[in-house]
Amino acid sequence: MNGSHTDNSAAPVVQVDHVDFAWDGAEVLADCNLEVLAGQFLGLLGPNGGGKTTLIRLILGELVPDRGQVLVLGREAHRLGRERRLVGYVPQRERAEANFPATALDTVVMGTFSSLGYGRRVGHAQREAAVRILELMGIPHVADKPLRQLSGGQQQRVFVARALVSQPRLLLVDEPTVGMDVGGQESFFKELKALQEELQMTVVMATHDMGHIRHVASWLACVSRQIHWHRPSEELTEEELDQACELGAYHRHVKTHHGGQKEN
Amino acid sequence: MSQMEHTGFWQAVAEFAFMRQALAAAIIVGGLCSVLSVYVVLRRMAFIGNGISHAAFGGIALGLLLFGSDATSSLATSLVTAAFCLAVAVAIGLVSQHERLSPDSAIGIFFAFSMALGVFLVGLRKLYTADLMTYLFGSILAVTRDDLILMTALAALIMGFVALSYKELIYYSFDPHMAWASGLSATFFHYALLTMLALTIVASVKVVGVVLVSAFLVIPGATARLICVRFGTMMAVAVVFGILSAFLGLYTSHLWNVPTGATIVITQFLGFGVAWLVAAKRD
Repeated sequence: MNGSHTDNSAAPVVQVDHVDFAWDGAEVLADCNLEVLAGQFLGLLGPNGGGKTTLIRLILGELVPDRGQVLVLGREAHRLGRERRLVGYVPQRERAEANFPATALDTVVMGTFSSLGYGRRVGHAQREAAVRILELMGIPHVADKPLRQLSGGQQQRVFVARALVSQPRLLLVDEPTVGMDVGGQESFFKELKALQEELQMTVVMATHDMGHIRHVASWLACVSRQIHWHRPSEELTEEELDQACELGAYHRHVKTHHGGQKEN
Repeated sequence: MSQMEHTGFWQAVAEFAFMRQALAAAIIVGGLCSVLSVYVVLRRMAFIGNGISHAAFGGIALGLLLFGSDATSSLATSLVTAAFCLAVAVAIGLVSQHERLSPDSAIGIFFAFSMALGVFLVGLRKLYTADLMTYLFGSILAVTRDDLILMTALAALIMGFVALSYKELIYYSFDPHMAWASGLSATFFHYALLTMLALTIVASVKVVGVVLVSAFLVIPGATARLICVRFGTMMAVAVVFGILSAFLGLYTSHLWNVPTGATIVITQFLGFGVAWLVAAKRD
């Protein structure tokens, strides 16, 4: 559970190599190439429907590319098996109902199950680790509250904490700030950045929140069917950042004027 | 129970082996079904529980057809029923993984097919229908020593698996997708739950019957969910509730000389009602 994430500091953690992906014959990603090195914080920008979530789910290994390959830690993403515990994941919206009989701490502890191993009971060490992560996320006071009593932002922090508690080498985050208020969004990005540096993690985050992500991510990429650009954030020009917005406007234009059909 | 109308409950237990077997069966089934009911409620598997329990009817008819209905063939019939329920559970699992079908469609199809197959087989061989009535509504006094041994073995197997997989089953019940993403095998626990459900139904069907066993698989978990906010307490409350209601149901059915399975379900329903009122007042 510790130590290994500091190895191979410059090795690629994620390699997306000539990847095509289609949903029911409708092309979502075409010839995508992307490399994320250890310790990078990559922000994925781009319009809604441009393929950000699909790309995250390909890296997660939940989806299998139609062509090309996705490697995570040098292995095919959809064949990670138990090594999947080295990848933390926070989905766009938690599908589980907050109605499950669990406290915030119970929920975070779930993140330790996979590395703990089959047949082993949760002990003091796992609960300590969960408490510490809740402290780092700035919500130690909610530890003993039932999930459903938490606000949307607090729940989202709990789910991030669950993804982080086993100290993954790669964290995949999909639109984490949906449903958070503006003040909450800003502190969320700051906390995540601090955690990423402390745990020396690689992070890939899909977001449309350009205002925050450009100050947090070390690299940015624009995804709209293809990877339009992929560069260190400080090198990006305003025009390139605008392009991510314009692509969004273009997509909306196509949807409005062509009966909602995809433009490919 | 007419011959025991004037006998007290504990006196009957002391005197008659079948009453002791009935008491043991009620407690085992009450406890086992309650453990499963926690997962059934949290994973919203009430309908699939219903589907598999009705599938047991097809399995029982097949077993009776193959081995006859005398006491010595009861174990063989149970084994055929177990195999049949497992096959239906796996079939439901496979068919419902198809993108275009929702699980409830798959359940509805196999549910009806299994019942139809049962009725068809009964008609084909002109089986003695009183045996089937026993399996439809349960007959706790007809529980044999062999039945009790099978029940105990199945209960030990299932409890052992639940104890070993306790934390994995929590995560799977909470969110199968995220359990998978964390490195646990969601497919394995999906089929493990279906298998446990099928085996629990086989162990319980003689006591409560095909029609009523689904209540055992929902009410204890639902009652506990109403009053508990953590998984561990929910499990404990469900098991205590299940065993207590099974005992009270058996006791009452002996007192009033009415069918046991139905009396236990009514007892559980009353308990659920009380929990609902308590929860409504508290929230």
